[in-house]
Amino acid sequence: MKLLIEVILFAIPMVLLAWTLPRTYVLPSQIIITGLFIAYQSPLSFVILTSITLGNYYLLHKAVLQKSIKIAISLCILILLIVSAKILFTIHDHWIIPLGMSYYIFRNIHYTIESYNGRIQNESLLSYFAYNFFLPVLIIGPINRYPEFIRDWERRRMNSEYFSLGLQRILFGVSKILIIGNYLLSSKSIAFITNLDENYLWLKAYLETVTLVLNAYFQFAGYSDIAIGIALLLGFRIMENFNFPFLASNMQEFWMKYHMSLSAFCRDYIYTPIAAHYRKPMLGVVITMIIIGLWHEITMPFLLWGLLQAFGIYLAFLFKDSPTSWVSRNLGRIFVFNYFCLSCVIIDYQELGKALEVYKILFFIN
Amino acid sequence: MYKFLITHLPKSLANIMIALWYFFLIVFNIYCGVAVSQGEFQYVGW
Repeated sequence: MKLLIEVILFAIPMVLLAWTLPRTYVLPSQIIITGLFIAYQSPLSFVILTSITLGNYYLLHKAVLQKSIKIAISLCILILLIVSAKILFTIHDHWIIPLGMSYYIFRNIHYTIESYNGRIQNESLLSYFAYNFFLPVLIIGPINRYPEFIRDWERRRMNSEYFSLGLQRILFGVSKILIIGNYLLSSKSIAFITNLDENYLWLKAYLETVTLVLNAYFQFAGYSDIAIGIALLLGFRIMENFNFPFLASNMQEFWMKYHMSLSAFCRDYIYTPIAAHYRKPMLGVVITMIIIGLWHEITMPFLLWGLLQAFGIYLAFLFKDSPTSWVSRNLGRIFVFNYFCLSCVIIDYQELGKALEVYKILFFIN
Repeated sequence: MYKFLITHLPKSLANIMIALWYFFLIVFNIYCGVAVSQGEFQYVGW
């Protein structure tokens, strides 16, 4: 809760300055406050993230090299950084990944690729810094896009509509985290499950699995709401991260509604190039879902989780031509919810042995 | 929710219901925050 409160506390002066300062000083003030926030949380993170920003900007816009070489160097360094940080974090528990590093690197990879595609040209260091040091999305996303960020900045609307919408989103976000995630799911629901009779072992395992997944979802959706809300208070409309994912009727649709900024990033920069190059959409899906899994953590459970998601999408591919009706759509929803919950058992328990025990209970295997 | 209420109820009643809903959320959040700080239940998350 400390981090959540601190994000909101640092956002307050940012919003006040955004509403009072002349336009020229707004971006620098946002960069400074975000920089102070990172330095306050972890000075090392501040040094690392600033170095990456400066290094990448210099490489892409100032270095005298062939364009493709610059892009290749930038991508190699960024991918190496995220992979090494994740591996070190997995090996040494006490190592802490620089604050928001996973999202930060993905935003920079997007910037680099779009520079290569020509959608980003001759950008100023100030706007690049403002994009990277944007407090609302710094820690847990959404992975906002640079062109949209700059467009929002240029068309920034400081009006009562955005302000009230922003406050509403923050209230909904905090409610999702505190009331649904912590009070109802972590506290009341877990207490109910713990007190269940031992004869209801299956029900216990099932409810525990569902509670863990729903808790993770509401927490994440809550933080995304807070990020979107703070951005609205600053006059920015950033992309949504969730769109009622558990109402999806197949796994393909589910991944278009769940963690949308990550799945859109992976669709644009991993799935589409692979599927287009090899003419094999399923190969693209498998590689994309493995990368999404490993992006969370480079461990075997997350690799298997990614493969299970790919299998779920494969099933959606198989049945895509079957006729849809009210019944089939709702059966699909029940399937998607349960399939996702069951696939998350692997990552909830972290150890494959424990996860297998839970699967045995859930599938009545003695 | 506002759109749903405003199309099914008189505007003033819809506004009162929306205000009560926000009031309930704010009070419940404060209650949860206090309960967490007093250790009544453990906060899970970032």
